[in-house]
Amino acid sequence: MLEDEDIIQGCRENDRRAQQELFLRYGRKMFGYCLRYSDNPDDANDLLQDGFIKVFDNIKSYKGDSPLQAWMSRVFINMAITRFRKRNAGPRFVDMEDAEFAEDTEEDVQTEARDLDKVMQCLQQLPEKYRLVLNLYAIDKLGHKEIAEQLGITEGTSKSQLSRARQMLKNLLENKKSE
Amino acid sequence: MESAYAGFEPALPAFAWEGIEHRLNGRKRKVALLWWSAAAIVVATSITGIIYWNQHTSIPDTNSAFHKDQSSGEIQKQSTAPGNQGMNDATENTENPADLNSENKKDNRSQNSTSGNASNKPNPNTPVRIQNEDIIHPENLNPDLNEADANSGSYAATFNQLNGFGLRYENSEAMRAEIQIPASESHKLKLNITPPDRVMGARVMLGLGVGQIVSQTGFGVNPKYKNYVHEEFQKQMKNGEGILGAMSFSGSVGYRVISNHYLYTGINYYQRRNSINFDFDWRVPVTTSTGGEKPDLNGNYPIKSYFTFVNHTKFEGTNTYTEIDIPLGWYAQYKVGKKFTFIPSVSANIGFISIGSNNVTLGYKDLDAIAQPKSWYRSSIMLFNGSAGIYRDLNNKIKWGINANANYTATPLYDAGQTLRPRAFTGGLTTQIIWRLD
Repeated sequence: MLEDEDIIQGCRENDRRAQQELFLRYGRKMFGYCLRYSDNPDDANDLLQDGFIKVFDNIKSYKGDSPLQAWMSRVFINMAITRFRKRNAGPRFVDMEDAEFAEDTEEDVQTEARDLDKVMQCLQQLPEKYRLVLNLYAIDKLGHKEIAEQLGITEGTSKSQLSRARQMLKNLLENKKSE
Repeated sequence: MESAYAGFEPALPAFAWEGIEHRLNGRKRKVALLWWSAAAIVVATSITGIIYWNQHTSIPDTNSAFHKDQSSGEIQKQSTAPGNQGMNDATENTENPADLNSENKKDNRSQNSTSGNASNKPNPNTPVRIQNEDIIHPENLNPDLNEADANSGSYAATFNQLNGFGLRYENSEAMRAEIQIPASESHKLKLNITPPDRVMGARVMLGLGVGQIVSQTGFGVNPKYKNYVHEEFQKQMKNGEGILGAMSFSGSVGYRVISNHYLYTGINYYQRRNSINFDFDWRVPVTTSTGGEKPDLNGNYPIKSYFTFVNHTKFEGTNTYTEIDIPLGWYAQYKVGKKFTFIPSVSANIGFISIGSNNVTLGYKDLDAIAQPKSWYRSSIMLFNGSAGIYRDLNNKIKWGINANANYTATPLYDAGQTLRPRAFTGGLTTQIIWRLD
């Protein structure tokens, strides 16, 4: 079985078998990221392919100072953020919701493994910006400051959107349970 | 949530690797189709231009003399050197003008010898209409000229004298010079020149224009995706976008195909500007990926319902668009009085749009401010243009006037398959100068 270093070297040389091996080894994990950051499986598939193309393009810049999976997940998250910014980012002169939801409620959504499918379905129903903030903060453990920098919003907006996202997700899950 | 997703490794979609591999292979085979197409257009245009500029009307021998045939009374052309004394007795057939139009030349036209009776005089009452085969450049026409000394009985000399005044004009059914020979011992010629509309009769016209235009965009929705658009989107766009003026510049070349009708092409450059001012509440939509619905091109699903949550959107600014279009059209020139010309025109244009880098608009699902997506826009569009203008002759070669223009975008501004189908309508006033080039 090939070691990661061999696969990385092969990818740097554009060896197709090495690239395929990398895909098979980490594809499912990365697809999990893609599903969380997309609102439908087709979109997630597109993100998966875009992400791996990006990984292969930039593999030469991988220095080995962090685990390969962590580096790849960062590539995928950045792609999701870039896609969001292209679709939705823009100057907002006044964001009224900042005033209403300035405080981070820290309310967590209790999730059990068997409910992951339901959570995923509800997550995909959220508006994209709320889903993005929820993923970045609650699952990928970015801080509000970093989220704000990545998305081009204020920290207050990041907090308020996170609060809204949690509330919406909770409502959707409750509705799902009652179905 | 973090722990729940720690081991989340869903099954890969079918053919995911094949899709990646296809893209990796395809990148190497990129064909610079656009560059080849551009090169082909440049070559075709260059060849066409070379062929066009190589076509010119040959100027016949301006030393041709005229004489009147004794038997037929026709004024006939005779190739001769200047000062030719060959003349005929022009006493016959004084009733009808001798028409030198090549269409009217009969078989009895012939080249006479240069010998002639020096005492023969042209019939003073015979008007001579010279057209078609004679070359007259009216810019040299002296409008004050109404007499010319004629050598005794010599048309040839007379014509040479006329030539000496530069009285030459191109073949054109719109141009005539009528020369009447009054009764006069000195055989002075009275030239009743009906100056043709020198500019109207031109074969090639060049135009340059500048003006102000305004535009408005209507946001239609692709019927296939009407459920994908927020219920308030069209109303808020209509309320929030305002009209602003912008400059336009144009250049054109017209080629006369028949009478006073021209085909033309050229290039137009203009900006469209809209003010944007949004300040409203909106309900957050609920979308779903279940039930077999397909997403639109932007990954959005139909709006199933609306949350009770209300968001507020407020922003303002100015959006700009730069457009270059190439028209292919028709225009005609109609004389209005002595100095004015009415020029209507229609054209079909191919246009290329560039979006301002700071443009902001509303998202059509979530009514938030978004950067205007350049990827949605078509690279080229078809437009129809109509205009009408009134022009004044400044001199033999130049007209200046004012046009009222209107443009309608025949194809939607966004790519086919997009959820929205915006179309722009543009109108304005331009001032234009037209030159004849020939």
